Amino acid sequence: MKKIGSIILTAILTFAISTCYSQEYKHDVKQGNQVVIKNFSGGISIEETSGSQLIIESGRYEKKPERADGLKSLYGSGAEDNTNIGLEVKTDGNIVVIQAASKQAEDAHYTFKVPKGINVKIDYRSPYAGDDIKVKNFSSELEVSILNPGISLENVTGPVILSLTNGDVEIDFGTVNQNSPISINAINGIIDITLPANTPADISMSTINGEIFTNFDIDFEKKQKDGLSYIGGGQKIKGKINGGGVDIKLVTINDNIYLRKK
Amino acid sequence: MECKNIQHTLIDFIERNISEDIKVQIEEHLLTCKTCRTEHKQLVLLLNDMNDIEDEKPAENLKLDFYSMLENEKLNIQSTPKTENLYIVKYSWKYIKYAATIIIILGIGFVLGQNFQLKNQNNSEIAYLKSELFTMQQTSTMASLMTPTASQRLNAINIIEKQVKSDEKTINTLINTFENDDNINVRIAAANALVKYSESENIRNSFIEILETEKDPALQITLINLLTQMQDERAKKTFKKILNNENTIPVVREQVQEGLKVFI
Repeated sequence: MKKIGSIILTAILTFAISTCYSQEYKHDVKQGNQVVIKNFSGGISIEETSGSQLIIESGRYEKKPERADGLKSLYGSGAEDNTNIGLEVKTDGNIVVIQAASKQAEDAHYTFKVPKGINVKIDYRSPYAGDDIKVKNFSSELEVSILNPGISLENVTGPVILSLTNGDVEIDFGTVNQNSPISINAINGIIDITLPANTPADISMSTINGEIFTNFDIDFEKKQKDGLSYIGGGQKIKGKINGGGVDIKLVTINDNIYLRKK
Repeated sequence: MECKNIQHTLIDFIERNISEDIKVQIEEHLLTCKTCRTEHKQLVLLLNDMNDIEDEKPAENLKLDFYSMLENEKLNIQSTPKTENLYIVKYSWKYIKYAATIIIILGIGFVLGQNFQLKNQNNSEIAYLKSELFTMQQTSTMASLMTPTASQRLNAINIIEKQVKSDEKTINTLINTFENDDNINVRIAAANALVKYSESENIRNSFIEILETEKDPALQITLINLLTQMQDERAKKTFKKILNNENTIPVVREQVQEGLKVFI
């Protein structure tokens, strides 16, 4: 009896291992391309790679059952899994569009390794999206809109354009790219930004129901307007750090803004 | 569009005989393609020159003198016997003298005219270059408003915002960006840049119209605040509509209530 049990166990394990393992998909991209991730609710991590191919890794993804051999998988949105990891990847001119193309992809976690110089745009406004987006060591443009989760960026240079409704934003910048603006709109979330101490920037921060904290020395701009300038008692701060430079705009409504130097 | 197609449509582009979307495509292309830009520049110069050249006509009194002289001579011819060859030679010398005078006068006039035109051309060339520079600046900022990356579009809006005064075309492009851009941050930035021109009925209408249907809370809140600042009475109705809409999220509801309090 014990023997049969162990045989069954081994069989199950073998089956599990054979169907459930880390998979990756590679896609050629050219400089100047933009990667657009949309119709997506699975987890997203982004890293920069030195290679020239976009690599998408999925932690655990169950392969198509054998019974489906020779059959196409269909998915509600009309996207077609052409990667074998549940995603559709399509190149349209300069844009590489990636979207979920299977039920599994809705809950799976994907890591995107993006070559340097390729901009990334993520539409994460699906109400089913639950995990925070994580980005690490990224030096191209990042444009993200999110409904519920938050986002954390580590060692990025900008440009960073974020729009969130309910999540928090946490960014630890490396040297900030002086050529393009940084714009962050959050509504119900915290904005917590860390910048290298010597970053030159024109900073504008506003929150209506929250507070603003910083350890930077900000040269405040004189108020140019008289009369009614803002409603609801919110606060708006505009000024320069380190003599002024790239535009950084941080806006939230219901929470605090933290601007730290490192 | 390819260079070949662009170059075919350039004359129509300069004469403004094409549809808005083709125009935009060409403007975008010109920004990136040096060959077509040179072609465009040369064509503009050529067309300008062609317009500048007027048909040269001899002065009115010159014509009169010439004809009266001709009549006189005709009479002389008729009154003199044709057989006297010597006389004819003498006469034709006289005629050649007049003809030479006319040629010299015309010649001087032509040279003067040429000089005058050259000067004119120089002036118009400077004016042309100036306007070209301005258009280039405007076009390049506006073309950036159509680039695929949001940060470049934001940058363009920042540049426009820092200009003391923008022309109507720029403002219209800004309104278009505010209404149609697919990035919310860009739309919010465009709305803020438009506040400076909020005297314009177009802009107020656009703000109210967008607020009526907009679903993104960040843009909704921006517009509520801007319209409250403008104290535009018509906004009150829209505010109440948003308040009565059950899909309005709490934070937007709050802003509308605050806004309504400030309206007198």
